Amino acid sequence: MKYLKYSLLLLVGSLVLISCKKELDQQPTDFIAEENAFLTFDHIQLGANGAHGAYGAYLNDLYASALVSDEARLGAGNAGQGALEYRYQFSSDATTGGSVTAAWGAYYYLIDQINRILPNIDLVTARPEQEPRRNIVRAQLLALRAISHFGVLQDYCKNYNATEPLGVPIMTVSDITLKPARNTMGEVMAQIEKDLNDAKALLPAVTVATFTDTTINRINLAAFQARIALYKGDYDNAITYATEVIGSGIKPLVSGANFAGIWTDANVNETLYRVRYQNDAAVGGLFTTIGGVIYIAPSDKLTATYDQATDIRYSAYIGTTSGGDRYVNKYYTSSRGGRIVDLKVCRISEMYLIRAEANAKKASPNLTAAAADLNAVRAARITGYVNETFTTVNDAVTAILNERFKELALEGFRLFDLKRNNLPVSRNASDASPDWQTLPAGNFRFVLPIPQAEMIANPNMVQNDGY
Amino acid sequence: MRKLLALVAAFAFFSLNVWAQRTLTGKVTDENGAPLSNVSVVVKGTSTGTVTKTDGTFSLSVPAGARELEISSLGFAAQTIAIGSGSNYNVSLVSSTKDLNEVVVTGITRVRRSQFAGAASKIDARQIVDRPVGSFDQILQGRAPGVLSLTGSGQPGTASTLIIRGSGSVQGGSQPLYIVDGIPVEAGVFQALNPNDFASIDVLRDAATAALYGSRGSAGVVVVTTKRGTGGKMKLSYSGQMGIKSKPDFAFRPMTTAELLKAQEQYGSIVGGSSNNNSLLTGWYLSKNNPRYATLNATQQAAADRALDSISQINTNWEDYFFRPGNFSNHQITLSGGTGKTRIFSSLGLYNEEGTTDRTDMKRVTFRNNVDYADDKFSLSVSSNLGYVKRNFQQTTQTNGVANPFLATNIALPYKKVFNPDGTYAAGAGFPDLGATQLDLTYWDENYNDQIKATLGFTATYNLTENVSVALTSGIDFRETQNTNYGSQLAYTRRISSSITGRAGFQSESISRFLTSNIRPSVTFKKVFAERHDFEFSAIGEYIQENAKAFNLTGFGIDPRTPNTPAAIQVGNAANQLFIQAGGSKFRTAIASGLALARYTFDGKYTLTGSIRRDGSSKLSEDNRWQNFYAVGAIWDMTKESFMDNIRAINVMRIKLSYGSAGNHNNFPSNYLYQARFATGNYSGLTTQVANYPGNPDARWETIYTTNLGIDFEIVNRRIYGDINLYNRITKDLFVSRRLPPSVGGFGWQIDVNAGELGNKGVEWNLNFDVIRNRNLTWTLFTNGSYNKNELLSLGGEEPYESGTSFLKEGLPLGSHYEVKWGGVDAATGQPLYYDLDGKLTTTYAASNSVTDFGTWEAPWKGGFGTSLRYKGFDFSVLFSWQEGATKVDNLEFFVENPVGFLGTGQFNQSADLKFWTKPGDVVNTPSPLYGVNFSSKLIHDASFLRFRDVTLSYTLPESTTAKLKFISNVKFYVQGTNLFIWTKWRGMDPEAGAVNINLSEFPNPRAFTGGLNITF
Repeated sequence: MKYLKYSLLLLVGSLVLISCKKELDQQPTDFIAEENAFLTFDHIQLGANGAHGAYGAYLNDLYASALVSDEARLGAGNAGQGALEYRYQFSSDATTGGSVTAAWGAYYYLIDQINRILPNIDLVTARPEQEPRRNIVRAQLLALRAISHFGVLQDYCKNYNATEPLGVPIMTVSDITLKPARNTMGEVMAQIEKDLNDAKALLPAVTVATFTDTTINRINLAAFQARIALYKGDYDNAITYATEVIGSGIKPLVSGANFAGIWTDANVNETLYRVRYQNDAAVGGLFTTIGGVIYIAPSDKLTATYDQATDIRYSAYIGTTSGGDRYVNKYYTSSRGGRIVDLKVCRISEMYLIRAEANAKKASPNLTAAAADLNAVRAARITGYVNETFTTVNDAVTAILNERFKELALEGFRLFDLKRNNLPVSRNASDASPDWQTLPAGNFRFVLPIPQAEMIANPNMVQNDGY
Repeated sequence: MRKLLALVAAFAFFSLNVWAQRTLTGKVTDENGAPLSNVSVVVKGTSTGTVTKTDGTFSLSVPAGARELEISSLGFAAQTIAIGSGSNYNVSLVSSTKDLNEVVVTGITRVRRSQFAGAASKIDARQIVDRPVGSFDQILQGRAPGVLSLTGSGQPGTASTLIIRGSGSVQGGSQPLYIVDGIPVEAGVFQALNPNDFASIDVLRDAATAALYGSRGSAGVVVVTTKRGTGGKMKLSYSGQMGIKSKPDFAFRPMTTAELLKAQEQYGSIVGGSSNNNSLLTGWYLSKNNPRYATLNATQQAAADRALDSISQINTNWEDYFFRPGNFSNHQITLSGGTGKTRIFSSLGLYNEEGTTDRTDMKRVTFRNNVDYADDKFSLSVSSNLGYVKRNFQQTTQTNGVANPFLATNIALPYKKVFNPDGTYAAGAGFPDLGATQLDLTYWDENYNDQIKATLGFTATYNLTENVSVALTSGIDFRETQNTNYGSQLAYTRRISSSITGRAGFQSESISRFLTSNIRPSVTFKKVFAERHDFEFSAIGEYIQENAKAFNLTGFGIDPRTPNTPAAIQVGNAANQLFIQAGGSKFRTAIASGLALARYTFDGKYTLTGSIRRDGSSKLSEDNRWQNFYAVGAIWDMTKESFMDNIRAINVMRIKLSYGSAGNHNNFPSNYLYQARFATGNYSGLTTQVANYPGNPDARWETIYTTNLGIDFEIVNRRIYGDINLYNRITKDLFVSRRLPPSVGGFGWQIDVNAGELGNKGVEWNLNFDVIRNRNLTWTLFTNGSYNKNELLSLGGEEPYESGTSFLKEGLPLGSHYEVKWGGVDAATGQPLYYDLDGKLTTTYAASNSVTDFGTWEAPWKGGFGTSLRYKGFDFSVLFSWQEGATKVDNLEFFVENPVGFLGTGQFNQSADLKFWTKPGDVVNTPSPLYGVNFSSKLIHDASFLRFRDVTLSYTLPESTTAKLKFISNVKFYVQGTNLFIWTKWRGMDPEAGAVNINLSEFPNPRAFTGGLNITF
């Protein structure tokens, strides 16, 4: 009897424990486990949406250019935002060089997300009407991967030289066990061009009606090709791609209120590619807080380049508070609330200026063509503008670079234009103390530091000179 | 006296359960014949018992089968007397201190200390009750050896950081396991538990004890035992306590207006340039020395002079506005009693505390009911506590944000006014008006939570035979916290907001719910063979499930005429853009265990204990889920040996050795760390899906192996007593972070891998000395403390990495600060100097020059000491607590001694100690305003402290007086001071408060003066 009692107890006990054992299989409810991540094409589309959003990584280039070049100065309300970068005291560490190392992580994050989606595109189920979208999404992702690689190449390498060993790592698969080394610049460029060409081959033609500046398509892809070709010094291709974009007529140059409206997101004139910020002051907030505190202001040097009376860019780009402080008006006002503006990554005027520069710099310069494009941009911006002609390449290039300074101010170009052309940063005395007024041409700080986080975690990584 | 006895006997008869019971009476005295009150008289082996009255008498109904009475009292050796045929028993107890720790409650089992191989310390009710803190774990500082206890915040009711025997995990936590009456309770949320209901807190530190909790106890276990009903007539008692709380003193002082204007002028005169025209930099902008001044015409110059003069007249001491006197009160009514087989303890507590800054308080109502039943076969203990807590909060503390009052008070400009002429706060945009803006926000907004917590548990035991018993313990710990955050449209920061939702005001409601349930069946076999072989064996099964769910909702457009209600939330639409935001989370984890425990004692001299268990955790993949843990222990009671008989100086000497393993289920780095995960997000209205954690499918248990060698002793006529423990804890399969290079997935991509090994070894002491001990006067000195050496033994091939302000590298303790070494200021140029890795001074700040030469925040030395003095009815006790060898980063110093980033903007106040370089030859510690200040070792300071933690003076009315007050049996008055002083090199508000590694201007611990009254009717 006694033993029966014990046996029963044991039996009950074991039953309880066995049923508990099942309870140990607890699956997450709050996130998607990897095996469920990509089941249908809808999930691929969600991933692609994320990738397009993650190209907000470009904002880091825009900010780094503002801080390190001569287009901005520390604003009246600056309490240290970007100050160390501005004073050329930045290092590879996130605390002191966060604004110039951020692009590295942001671009590779995007590249990894793309590499996680790409192998699944052909594996998922799709509804019949979605079938053609497989290739379109594949092309968009390939293109974004290329553009991202270009972003890191431009930030963290010396001027383009195919044999330069310190390029950046090429990442085409997602594998967390990798500790990648730097490829040569030539290898990186080859991968960028391959991805862009593969993408272009998969994309259908676009028209004014089907064009959208928030996803990759054939035309804005060509615009990036033009930008990259100019960077590479491949002027003939730069002209070809820029002509492809301009010639499509999809985004003509505009002027007057149509131009001003670009910057308040009232219209999407001229924009070839845009990252949207529906309710996030990510762009405007870098320069001026929502409350109106000015962190980063346009430099006196930049301000002085505009003829305030005739150049519509002055009022579109630069604002002045009642107290007399200047602020970046370009990213200040929007219908969605102050500072909540979209990131304009690529505009048609850049294509004109690329073509102008390529025509001026190519093996047999075409100064007439260069002047024509430059004049087209100026005519759209300056009331009563009289066309200019050039007799020397030098004059033309100087004028074009100066026009890029004015036209593309604070859009992420100035630092890279100076670097590309081996020019120094020379700030006005009123913009900076003598200690950080000049960054001599070819100074190591033109090549931004590889972030400390990469250096610690990756024994195969080589830091740039000087850091 | 006889009359009284008769009365007692009569009372006893009234409550008598006549059949099968009889009533025993008696009197308990000390060795000198003085009656002893509150002595526990219990039928051995049951929970039937009572306590003696003030005259030392007792009466107790006992079951017919009762054989022995156990008579015990704090400070006296327990006695067991056989129950014979008589009914009156007079007992004389011998004074002793060893019984203070006689029974170690491990939560699962109650073990006699002499048979307990582990290291544990007991904190008894006397030290727990009537402390003016809202979270009981705050009591532990300085009272338990081996415990690093930091009271993280002066916010009423905030839990402490408790680390037992050093951090044993890197990526997981080091939070101990908390058990209340055998039921695991949620760590860190103790506001709804009333410490006045506690009978004792046991802190279990070693492997043998932790092995009982195998999978969960590796970080130590804190076991709370609540009070049970005492036998006999229901006794009603009341205790009440009131007091005030005030801001602590600290070394640091912000500048006055005069000082700040002077510093601003000095700054401008050196920097010049754009600062000449920075109108915010008042002291320079309006200065006659500013070149700008010469360019003004006479009228403008006069205006500037007037402006400067009027600003100079304002000198706001922001401390007066950000701090307020706090107060404290606590009331409790207790009923305790029992008849026959049943005893009841019931208490109702009301706690009220107002913090030392506006909008911080805590109110608590607790209702506890503990019921015990026991007969000769069956016993049942039911414990239940229901608590309701309401707490009010500031917008934020412990952040470097201007909404934090404890940052604002130090950086707000002294020449700004607090109020507008119309009486409203003089808030303004941006930083210059941050002081008044903070106060305005505090005035308009609300942030509070309501918490309901129910902890219910029972243990039922049935004796199958004389030697075999079965038991079932089960219970739940349930907590629901509802948080409300109301942002008023009328607050200045909202009125000027440029975003639609910002202007609209918000109402944010969130609910979080946490439920732990457990069930633990057990069988115990216990037998003494041949009178000398004492054997005990238990088999235990356990299943614990944790469920958590949180839900939150934020709505906008709250009309200030209907403030602070979810009813005022507007329905969002495309036109008003006031879309409601909602979110939440949930998870469930489970653990199943099987456990066998055995103990064998030979002749009272030698004891061997052993345990083995197998645990499965839902937090690991099926392949790695199950793990075995084991522990063994041995005890040698030396004083029981015959050769000790002649050594009179040694009364007790026990040597204990144990070794065992334990796991860390509650502190896994995440609940699903083996799975890669994707999450959905939003890109401007489009849904996105991104990978956000790569997952480590190989994750397995992190296991701590502890060796413990301990000695318990009582020597010199039991005047010197205590225990000393030596231990070595090694964490194997330590989770360390593998930082993936950003190039494989972006910043912050990491997985936790079982690679490292971590060591903690040290010594703990608990020493007491009764300097004087006689009938009227007892004077005791005591000290407890520990030294712990924490060292990361191995990273298992992973790369060293930065974690917060620290760096993880083999050979270093956890929490080692990682910074560039500060080299001072170049006296010739005013440039900041830093050391590079070769030890050379350089003007270039490079993070890659960071080193780990600055110690760790985790103090190796810590403890407490004090004294207690008892003279007749007076009782005086003092406790100091201390820690030594800790360093901490002072983030506040970065703000308040920073010419470029802060002073030069003209928007912030600075420390009165600020002395920056102005001319060649200046030997100062802050660089010239031409050069920025970086985060460097300059900010790392000694956070050691000695705290005057507690002083209490109480007086208990003598019996002769209470005897005259017919309805009152005991009256005690007391006054108490808490946190009265602190001795520290730390300059900030409180070296303990806030994050353990860095000072982010957290709410400092207040100083408290309280007084109280306890009456038993």
